[in-house]
Amino acid sequence: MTIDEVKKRWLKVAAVGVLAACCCLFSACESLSKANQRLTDVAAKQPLARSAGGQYATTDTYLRSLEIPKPSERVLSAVAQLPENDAMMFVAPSRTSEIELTYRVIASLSWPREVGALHCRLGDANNLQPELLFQPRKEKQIRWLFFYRTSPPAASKSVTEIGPHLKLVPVEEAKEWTSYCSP
Amino acid sequence: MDFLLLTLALSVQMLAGFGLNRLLARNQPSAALPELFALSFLLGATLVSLLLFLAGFFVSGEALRWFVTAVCLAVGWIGWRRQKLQIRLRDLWPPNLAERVLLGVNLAQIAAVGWLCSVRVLGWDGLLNYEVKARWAFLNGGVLPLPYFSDPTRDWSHQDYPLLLPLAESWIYLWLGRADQQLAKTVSWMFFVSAVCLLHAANRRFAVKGWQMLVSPLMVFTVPLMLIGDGSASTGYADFPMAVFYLATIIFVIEFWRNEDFAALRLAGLLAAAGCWLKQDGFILWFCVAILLCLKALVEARSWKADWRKWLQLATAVSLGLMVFVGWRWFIAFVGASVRTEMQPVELVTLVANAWLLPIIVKGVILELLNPRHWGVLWLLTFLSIGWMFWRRRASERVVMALAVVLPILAYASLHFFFHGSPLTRLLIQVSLVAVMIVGMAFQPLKKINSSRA
Repeated sequence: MTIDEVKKRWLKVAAVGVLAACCCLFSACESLSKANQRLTDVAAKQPLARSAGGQYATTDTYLRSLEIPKPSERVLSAVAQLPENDAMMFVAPSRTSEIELTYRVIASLSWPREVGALHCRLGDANNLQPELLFQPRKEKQIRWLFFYRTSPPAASKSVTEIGPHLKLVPVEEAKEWTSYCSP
Repeated sequence: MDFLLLTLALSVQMLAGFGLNRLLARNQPSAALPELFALSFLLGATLVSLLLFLAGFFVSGEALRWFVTAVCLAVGWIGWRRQKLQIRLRDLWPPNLAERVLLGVNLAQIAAVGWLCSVRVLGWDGLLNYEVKARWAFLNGGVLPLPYFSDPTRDWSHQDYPLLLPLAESWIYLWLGRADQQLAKTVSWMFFVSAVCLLHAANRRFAVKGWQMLVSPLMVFTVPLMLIGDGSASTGYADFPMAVFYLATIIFVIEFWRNEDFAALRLAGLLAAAGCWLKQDGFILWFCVAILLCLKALVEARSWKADWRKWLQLATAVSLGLMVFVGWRWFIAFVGASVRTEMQPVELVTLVANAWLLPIIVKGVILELLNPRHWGVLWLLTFLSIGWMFWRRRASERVVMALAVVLPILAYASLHFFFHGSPLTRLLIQVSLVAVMIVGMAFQPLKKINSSRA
């Protein structure tokens, strides 16, 4: 047997092998996807650890608490209409790690607008004083308020509802920030 | 199209790293491909991020991207002209069964971590300390605007953290034309690929051959915290990349100790300095590396006495990291960034006042090192390996290897005297790859040690 013949034989074997592998892959596609799902359940057990996929893979996962589809894009589209020099305030009922995470993700998506944070401590019997955690620079005017898991003032005229738990409201009159904590 | 742009961004970056490596590692025409790959990525990421930061004071947007690309191509070309590589294609295929199995194991590990990166999100810090800065820089034309550093509402993003990782991610965004949190994880994955390549390079440099080569890569997969959890390879934190930079640094420090190779010294100096540009903790690791290099100088003081060039090269390599650290601190002070620290002043008075914490700290460190959920048996094996090396290996290597692990652990543990919330678990990740390398080297048979000495 010459070298050329050996090469040809190996080429045939390789071609058959590749074909067989392709067939196996196609037929196993469904089982592969199931196996992938099972493995993902093991590797990313916690819902907050599982990637939502796509451009906003992580922020979408971290904004699950908003309970809306594509939360990052919803926040971005709501914020995109606001002037970049306007500052904002994120008003939330208390200071838990979930609220902290939601605030930071929303503040990051609102770039370049400065977003302060006001934690009202509602229902906290030990400390009823609201806590202004981050405040925009003095030269920036706070013109918008995010209300997360808390209701905007009843007199608010234009309320943009980003989701059932997040509302965007313009500041209509200058008053103490802590007054927004009153139910 | 995304794949093409991503490949282009990484290729340009790695070409720059390749050029820099060739310029620094003179008189080394043949380098192992995995080592070259890892160094090209690490040095490339450092150079690109530094260029984006410095050139960003003058240009932004497309001009910045093309300026950085032009510099990267120029560095790559100059490096190639200065010292061409001698790589034969047949060298790429492993010569024996053990190395073929090793290649298979490495490929499986790389695929597994790639998959993990794709199904898991960036961790809290991975998103809020690093990726957001990459996104903001991208939205601002590749540059973080100066007002950002003093913005009180972004205090939580740690404005005082160095920018290697965010700007390396931002470089990818600039090429993609959009910020993409899923594709940003490519950077974390590339750091893991570099780690695997460096462990391979360490085996090659320190004459670990045959089936023993499998020990260190397999060891990586027995350490849960290297793969999943805060600071791991899949979370986008800076701790695992720091471990990769530290591993590369220590490989070249050992090479310098063994062969007095000043090209290795230059690389070690540059990689330790890159660590300072990656995370503030990099300064502690730089300090440990500086101690190792100064020890070498003490050992060689007599033979070097007349040769001022050697002293100069050592001083340059050591001072590089200090320059990066001081430069960054100066910039932070200049822009008025808020420095978040809960640390008490690092003074003898504080140390004496908190001396009562010593038994608690020692107990905490031992419990952490032996925690199988975090580390498997890594640290136990590491300290056994160090003991074995003290018995079997020549003095210079065993001292370097032992100190490369023990000094950072002592430094990180002693942080607890000044700062009660110090994240020891994450800090230990930064030393873990060096520990893995040491365990791998301990399995080297005695006859191979003797032949490598010869």
